[in-house]
Amino acid sequence: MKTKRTILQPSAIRLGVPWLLALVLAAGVTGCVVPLPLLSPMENHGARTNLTQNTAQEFKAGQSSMADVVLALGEPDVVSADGYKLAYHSEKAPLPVVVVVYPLGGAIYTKELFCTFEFDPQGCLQKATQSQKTRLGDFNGEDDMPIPKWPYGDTNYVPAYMIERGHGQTNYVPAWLAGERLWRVFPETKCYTGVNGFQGLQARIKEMKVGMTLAWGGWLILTESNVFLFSKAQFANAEPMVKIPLASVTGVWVDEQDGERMLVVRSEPGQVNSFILPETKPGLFHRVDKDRQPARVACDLIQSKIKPASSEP
Amino acid sequence: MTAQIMNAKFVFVWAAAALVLAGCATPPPAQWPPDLLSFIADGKTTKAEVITALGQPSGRFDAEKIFTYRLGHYFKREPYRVTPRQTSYYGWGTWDFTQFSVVLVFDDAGVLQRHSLLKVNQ
Repeated sequence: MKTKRTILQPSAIRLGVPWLLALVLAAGVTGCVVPLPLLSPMENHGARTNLTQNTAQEFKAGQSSMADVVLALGEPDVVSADGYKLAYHSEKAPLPVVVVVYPLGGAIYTKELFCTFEFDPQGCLQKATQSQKTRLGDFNGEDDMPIPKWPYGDTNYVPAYMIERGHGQTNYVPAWLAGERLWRVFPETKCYTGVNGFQGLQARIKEMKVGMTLAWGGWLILTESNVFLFSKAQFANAEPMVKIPLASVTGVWVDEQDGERMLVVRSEPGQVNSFILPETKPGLFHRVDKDRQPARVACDLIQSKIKPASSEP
Repeated sequence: MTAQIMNAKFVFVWAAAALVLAGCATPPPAQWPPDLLSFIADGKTTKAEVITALGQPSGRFDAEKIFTYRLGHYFKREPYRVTPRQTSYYGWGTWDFTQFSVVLVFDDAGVLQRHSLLKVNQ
């Protein structure tokens, strides 16, 4: 009579089985892809959806004009600072699922299209290019952008980038900045146009209606002769949203309330603008003295350029 | 008696169905094209009239010959309104709650020559 042979002793099996199970479970779970239905089948991170794979070919170099392109495709998504390059970005989710990849988390499979159009100074199309990319993850189209990449990922904020880098290091300087000596740039500033300090802000909030914009976020730029606010909502080829010549400033002060500070600038003729500057640590792009409040720094700078008597309200 | 019970059941079923379907009623969409664009006419409308009616454009291109505006609404019943440009962290334009792009092309004298109204987002 033959006896059944076992390769492993019972004690070894007792020890080995849990490990084996754990190994199988780990191998099974690692890299596990679980498709889940999307709540919205057109999840596209707010990108436009009116581009096709043939969009760039619909326009002819030397024949199509900038007006032809914009009339057909709508407002572009990015514009170069000189205004001669327009870019469009479309993103669609061809598969209406969220893919869960353990242990990375959820991601969405999307198909992206990029179209860029280059024009001559007369507005005649010189070159149209298109690229496509499928991607699993969050919105980030920087890698495939045919137009130059800018630091800080701020594709749209070319003027602010130029300001930081200095005029000599770029080929193009916006007309509104040409010849200006730069003093300070405060990114992530909130600008309240027509608002006089915190009291004015409260009054503005009370009169807000649907569709009104309370504040504009962007860069507060102090130069030798002007205070600028270049908004993030603006295209790179735009003029600054706010321009206050220092010669017109009749008063500047820091309004404080509940530990928050607001820079208030009053100027002729009867205008007032308030700014909340981010109170973050200084960095390459935020050249503020370490122990001083940005609003106070900006206030002192403006005061030093205007009449000594015009400080407090 | 049985007929009365059957009638009552019939009425109950119809009432229940009506209640359920009432929740499915789709509100009428906002008027399209929206009233705020009714003044636009090629060969007549000027830049100044456009800015007076719609405010500052979200984009100006080709030496300010091209103005662009954005139109959108949060809910389908809401009337369309001009929306400001939004950007992603990377500086790209985004179109959340903004479905349409209005493009106005002016001549050198600032008179509207061509225009388009495009749906750019779902």
